[in-house]
Amino acid sequence: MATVEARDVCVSYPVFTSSARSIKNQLLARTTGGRVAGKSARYVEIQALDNVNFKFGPGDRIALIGHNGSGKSTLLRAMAGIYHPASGTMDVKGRVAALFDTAFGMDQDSTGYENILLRGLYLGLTRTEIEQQADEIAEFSELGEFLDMPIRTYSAGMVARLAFAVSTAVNADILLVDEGIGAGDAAFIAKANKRLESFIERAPIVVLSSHDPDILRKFCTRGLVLQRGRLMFDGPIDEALENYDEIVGAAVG
Amino acid sequence: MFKAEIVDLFESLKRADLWLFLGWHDVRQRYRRSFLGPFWITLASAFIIGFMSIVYSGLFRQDIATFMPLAATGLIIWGFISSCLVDGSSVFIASSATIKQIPAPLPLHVFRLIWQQAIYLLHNATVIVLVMIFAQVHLAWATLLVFPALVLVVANLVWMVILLGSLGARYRDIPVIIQTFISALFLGTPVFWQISFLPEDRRWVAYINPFTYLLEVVRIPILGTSPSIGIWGACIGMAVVGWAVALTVYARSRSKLAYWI
Repeated sequence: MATVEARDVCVSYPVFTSSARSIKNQLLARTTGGRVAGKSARYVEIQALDNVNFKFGPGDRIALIGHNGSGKSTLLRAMAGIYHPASGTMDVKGRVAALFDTAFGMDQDSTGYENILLRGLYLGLTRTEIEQQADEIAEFSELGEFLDMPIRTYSAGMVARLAFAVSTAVNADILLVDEGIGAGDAAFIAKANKRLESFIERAPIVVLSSHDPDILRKFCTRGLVLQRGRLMFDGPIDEALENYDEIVGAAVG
Repeated sequence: MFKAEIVDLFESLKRADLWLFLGWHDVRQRYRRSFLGPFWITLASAFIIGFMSIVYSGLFRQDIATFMPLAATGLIIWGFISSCLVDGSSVFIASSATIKQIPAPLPLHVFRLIWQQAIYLLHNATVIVLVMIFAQVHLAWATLLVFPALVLVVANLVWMVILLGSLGARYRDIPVIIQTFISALFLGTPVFWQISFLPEDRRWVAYINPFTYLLEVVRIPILGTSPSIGIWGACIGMAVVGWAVALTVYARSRSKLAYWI
């Protein structure tokens, strides 16, 4: 059974000044009792997540709500196992697929087909799984003969289509999506929406981070509001969005 | 002990589809649309070995047919080891975009790098074959020992890259240090000379150098004899100690590495 459970998760980034990265300065700091290199060798820590607690189970459709720098992307990366909590535990059971940058890993000089393979492997599919789905992905993308051409010959919309077609071919227990999934030109969007819906429906757990309230309302049932790394609200999506508006309103007013 | 770290290694092996593909992709991308592809490197190696054999066999007063196989095997194996170390010290820095985008265990990037270098090694191996035909080196049963020897070298390189990569991600001097010192190390390793060329009171230079053993364990079988127990022992010992050190450093880095890069 797919679950994600966060217990008192804290994440902090060390931000090194360039001199803190140097061995010489670290050794100097040691031999001189920290006086010479002391100030410049210090590093700043940014508290990106502060005591976050939640539990997601099968059927959960979660929206992460918050403005830039509130910790949404960090939380997604912590769930993906990329960032390890400084304290607390993030317990994730199930196969995770992370769609942070849908075009990540696409190579300009490779053909469309090669990129299907490349992108699919990055997403955690095996070669055989991709080969089984390649025709279906190719057909959906409507790129036809272009799939044998290097993607640097594609328009931006065509690349987006291909990336979308591959990304939505993934089967995962836990789907982590950052800032929505672009599908390219308008004619393609209607078709893309259908695929996106079935893609989201078949994943037991979906966590979506977006600034677009309409998208969040459409796909999510539960909302988590983050502010400065703290979990401010966890509840039904409509209430979460209201709560977020209040926070933003309070900040602006 | 090292449970999470060993799980990382096995999980990385399981994703062989990805790193095998990426290793090939790295090589292809570099030589895309070029006429000879990675064989340009092979050609360059052939020229270096050719000139070096002509000049140095003269300087060392050696017969060119005995010197050439020595130089060819030495330079090509050294090339493999040294590129793994130089690129290895920045392996995680270079993969930072992938590490932050794709949930995957970190040793995967190490395997990708070593596989990529192994592909270059295989291309260069054609030069060794040609030289051996030219110099009429006879194959023996001992030649087959090259395979366990390569396994042992790779086992050593994996820990070295994990260690240097982890340190290099935190301390940015490490990649620079490795790049600078690798050429000094080249001169102190019997790459295009043999220990027997040295007067006895200077042979310690080669004996204290761990890379002597990694090089010789592969070279000696190619040249048709079997390496001494001492050489095997040094390589195995290095792997055991090295893995213990590398796992200790990696265990301390793995949870913070994504923040460092």
